[in-house]
Amino acid sequence: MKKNNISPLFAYFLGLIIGRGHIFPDSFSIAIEFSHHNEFSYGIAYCPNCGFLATKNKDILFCKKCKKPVSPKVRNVYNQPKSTTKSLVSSIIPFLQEEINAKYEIISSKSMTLLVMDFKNNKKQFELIRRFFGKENSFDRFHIPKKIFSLSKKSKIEFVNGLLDTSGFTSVGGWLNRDGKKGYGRMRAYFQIVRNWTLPVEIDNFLRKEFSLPIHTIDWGHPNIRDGNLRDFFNTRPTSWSREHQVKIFPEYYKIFHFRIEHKQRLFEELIVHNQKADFVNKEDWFPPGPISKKRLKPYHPGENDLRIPSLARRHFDAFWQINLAMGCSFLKKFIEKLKNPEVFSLIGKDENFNLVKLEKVLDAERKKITEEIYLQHKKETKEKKVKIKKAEKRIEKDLYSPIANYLKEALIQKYEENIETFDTSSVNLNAFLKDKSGNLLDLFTYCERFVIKPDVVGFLLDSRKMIFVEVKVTQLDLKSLGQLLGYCLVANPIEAILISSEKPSTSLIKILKAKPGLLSYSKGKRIKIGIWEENKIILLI
Amino acid sequence: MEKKEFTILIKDWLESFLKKRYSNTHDILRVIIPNTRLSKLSDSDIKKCKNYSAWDFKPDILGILKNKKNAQIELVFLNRSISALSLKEIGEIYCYSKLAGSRISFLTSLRGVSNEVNILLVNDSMRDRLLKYTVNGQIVIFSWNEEEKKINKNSIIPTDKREFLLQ
Repeated sequence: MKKNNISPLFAYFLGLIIGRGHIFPDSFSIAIEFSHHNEFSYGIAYCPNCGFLATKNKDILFCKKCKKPVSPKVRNVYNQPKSTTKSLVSSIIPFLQEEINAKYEIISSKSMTLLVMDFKNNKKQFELIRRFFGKENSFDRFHIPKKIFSLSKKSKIEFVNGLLDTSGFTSVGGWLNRDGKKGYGRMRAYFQIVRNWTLPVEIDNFLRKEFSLPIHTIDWGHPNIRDGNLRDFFNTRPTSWSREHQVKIFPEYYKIFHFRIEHKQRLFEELIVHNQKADFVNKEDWFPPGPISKKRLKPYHPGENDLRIPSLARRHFDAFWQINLAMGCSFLKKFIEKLKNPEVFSLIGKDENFNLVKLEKVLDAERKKITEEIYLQHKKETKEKKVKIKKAEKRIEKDLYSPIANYLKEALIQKYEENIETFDTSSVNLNAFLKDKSGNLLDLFTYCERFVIKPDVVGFLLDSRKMIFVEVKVTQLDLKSLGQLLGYCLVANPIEAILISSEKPSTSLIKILKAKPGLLSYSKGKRIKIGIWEENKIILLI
Repeated sequence: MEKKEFTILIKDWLESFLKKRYSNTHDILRVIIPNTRLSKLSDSDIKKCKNYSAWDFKPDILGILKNKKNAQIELVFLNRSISALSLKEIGEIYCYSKLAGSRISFLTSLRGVSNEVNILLVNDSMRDRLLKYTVNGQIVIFSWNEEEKKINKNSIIPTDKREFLLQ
């Protein structure tokens, strides 16, 4: 397979990798994730009495028309892990084997099936595949290769099929409240894109350009979109917005594509049949976008400046399509360039001649007003919650991260005499933290890309590019807490690792470590240190 | 499935596995669900082990074998979980296994390993670092198929242990 001669099969393979692939250059292998969060997925339920759509309300199915409860037995049930393995064994692997010469292995759990392809005996093909992805090794950083745009129609379709098998999801739960000519409820499928902020727009633009297909919306994992009314923020889930992005589509326009994962294809067909029967006239394409009315303005969200959001989108947005524009949507860019008032349009979706400075002031004042109203509404509730939390826990672990990170920074500067940064990394995996952080840190610590681990505090030695892990507890340290940090150390081999608690270690841990001090070592000459957090400093005990 | 039910089920599995795999070389003395830490267990065979008094931990299931060649007591640990396995669980059994030098250790769950760990274990050297606690000792991970009441073949990690576990 030459790079400039991509077969439909190879295009499908590239689609799989871009959707959920990991490349492991050290072991000449590629792993492709087929995720299925729940063991079972369910087909569409129709009322046996009137044939109308039945949907869930508090876990019980009710007919949307006659309002009667409907037995869940009327739906098809799909066992996702089983169907995925079956599809891999009977369809996907035999298909790929025609051209991709590797050792294939399936590893499965209830939430994910992994296809691992070992290229140790075919390093040439492995290197050729790698070239399509430049220096990137994981799906959260991949782009659609430019070469895909010049392929035959058949190959482009297979490329999308590959994307669908890994990142495409069919779910009855994504229906929209719409009336068709002959039915109700419009079903949607979606591409689920994890942590990759460029791929949603790339997929949108690819489908639009190459197939003239409509996209309903992009549901961005951005605070203004996912938590636009601050509900989660006030419900002790302040970062719930930090989830995957979803490119939502209406399946009836996507019949040229098909899933090779059997249960996804069957459900996809169910959704198509439903929408076709209901007969919806409007394509409901988000492009070109409509105006943002005063009602649609969003309150300011404290998460807008979160470092997990790439700098291009790290600000306030009132509509999802504004993020599309920020993330480089070429269709929108061209559309806006032709307007008389492009800057005004990008603010309110209207091509009108407003004074831009005044308009921004008006919008800002309006958003502030909405924000204030929401804060007032939740103020009482939040106060009550805070009291409850304080009563429930004397000292929560989270409270220690920041002071420990600050103390560690000073201590490490003294010890290592180089530039040091320390962070509370507890909320996100280390690899994602670095990617979200972007800039210098990511460039210096590219070797951390594989570290899907979550130490509480990490110190970064910026000159020597080394790391120090700290695991924090507020209970007595025991073998379990040691095991957790040991796991992180075995994965990432930091220069130092410290297990700290505000309490003294349990006597059994001390006894164990006296008898077997080697238990603390995780690499040649490196051992976990045990410490106590007392009077705002770390006192090392072992 | 409840944790208790799973524990009993997986204890039975371990018992029959040890009989099948180790009877030629070992006497399978017993497979138990320890009710206390190994250091406090009133078990005369455990007390024959060097350093047992420092074993202040409790695996979910314990297999006690006697090597027919040298009459040494050898242990097999199994920890089980009903949720997906994370590095925490791997690290924990790694500590137990390294501390007591178990013959082999198992980690099992009804949900298999978490997605993050699954990806980590694909890498050969990473897998060795996380699962090999001595030159010969290794942790084997697998998920239990509730419906079919057997090990899910595709879940066994490292994959080269699949035959060892299933044949």
